[in-house]
Amino acid sequence: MKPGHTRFFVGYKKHTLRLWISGFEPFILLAPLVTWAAPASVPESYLLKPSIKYCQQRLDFIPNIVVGDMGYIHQGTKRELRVQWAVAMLTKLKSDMKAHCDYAEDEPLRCRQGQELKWLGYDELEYQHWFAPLPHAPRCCSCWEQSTCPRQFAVPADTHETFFGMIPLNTALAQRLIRSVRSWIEPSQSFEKNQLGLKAMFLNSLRLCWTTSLLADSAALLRVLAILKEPPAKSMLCELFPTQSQFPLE
Amino acid sequence: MSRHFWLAMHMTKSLPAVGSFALLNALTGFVPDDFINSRWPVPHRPGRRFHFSAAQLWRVHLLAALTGGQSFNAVQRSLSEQRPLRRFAHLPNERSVPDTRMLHEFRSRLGVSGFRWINDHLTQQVLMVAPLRDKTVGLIDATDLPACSRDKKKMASLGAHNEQH
Repeated sequence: MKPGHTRFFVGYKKHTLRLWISGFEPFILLAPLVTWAAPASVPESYLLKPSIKYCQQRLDFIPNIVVGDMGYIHQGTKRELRVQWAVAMLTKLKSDMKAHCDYAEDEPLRCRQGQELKWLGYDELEYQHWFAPLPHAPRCCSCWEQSTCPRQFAVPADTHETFFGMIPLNTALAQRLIRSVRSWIEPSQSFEKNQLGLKAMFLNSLRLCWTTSLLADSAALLRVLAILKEPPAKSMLCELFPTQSQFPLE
Repeated sequence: MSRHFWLAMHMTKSLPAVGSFALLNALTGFVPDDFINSRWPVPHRPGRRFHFSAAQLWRVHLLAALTGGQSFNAVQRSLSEQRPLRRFAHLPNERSVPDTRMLHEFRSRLGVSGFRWINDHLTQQVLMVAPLRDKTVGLIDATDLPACSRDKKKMASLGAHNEQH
């Protein structure tokens, strides 16, 4: 149950998959791709796969990485997205998962001799991750297994779907996406609810909720189009502004 | 200073505020009128005439969001009073304004799938011009929209009140 809600919450949920327009540097810009309106009792994870499928069928475009909250943690769906569509679904680990997981988000992977390993990448053909020790790793130089060590270690992605998936959660990339990028969705939701007035609308049926949600998306898309086609003039104080963070996503 | 605050500052500088007539002027050129009118042409059939094109009626609906969350009925009422709203909806004068029945019929005619088609068209336009890097990132989340259930709440009837005494 969410804070501020009772067990008797009556209403709907607007599920939206948004695209971060990463190459637009003046500020962070999110464009809604797919929206579903559903009764509030429908779990979030039910609409994850349909969203990706819809994107593929209607837009011929699928985001490579999708970041969600813990409502989208369903392991089977994540595996299906990874294997069928090559989409990396990133969520945090639930607290009860952490207790039973051999890996930690803030701890690097280590070989059995304790040497820290660096993530090399995900092999889409074999569905496994490759890790290797850092160059000039201190423990490797004095390791008694040095002659037989392969220096590269493969871990199947389904060892722990939520932790490994396509991008392991203990990498800097995953942590930045979960901690920084994930939070950008809240201002856009707040914009729709408060500025575009979704919160104030008289929603007494799912059909009306769906129509108004789609109209809010239309307004957001028109704004994105206007911003992209006519970018804002450069401010005289722009040198003092924080710049858009760069994600090489390698 | 938080990043979101800077984001909000930039947003307000880039486009006029929601609810302003200046925003309507800024966005009017991006509405896909041709696409909407070609997909939902004015039907030629015996009986009552359709006075408004699908694009005009969709623009009227869009005003509900662009004016800060008015109801469709409130938008319809303000159309006859406010010229900038009529200009955005391509309505020639205050006498030729769609009534609430027309708006309702239009929503029934398009259905949810019709509104989605229009959004898909806009999304494809965004994808064509958006500067995207090699790896694209999507964000998925759900937000709660409380239903208006005031009229469904149990009200203490007069009889029940008397029984307590």
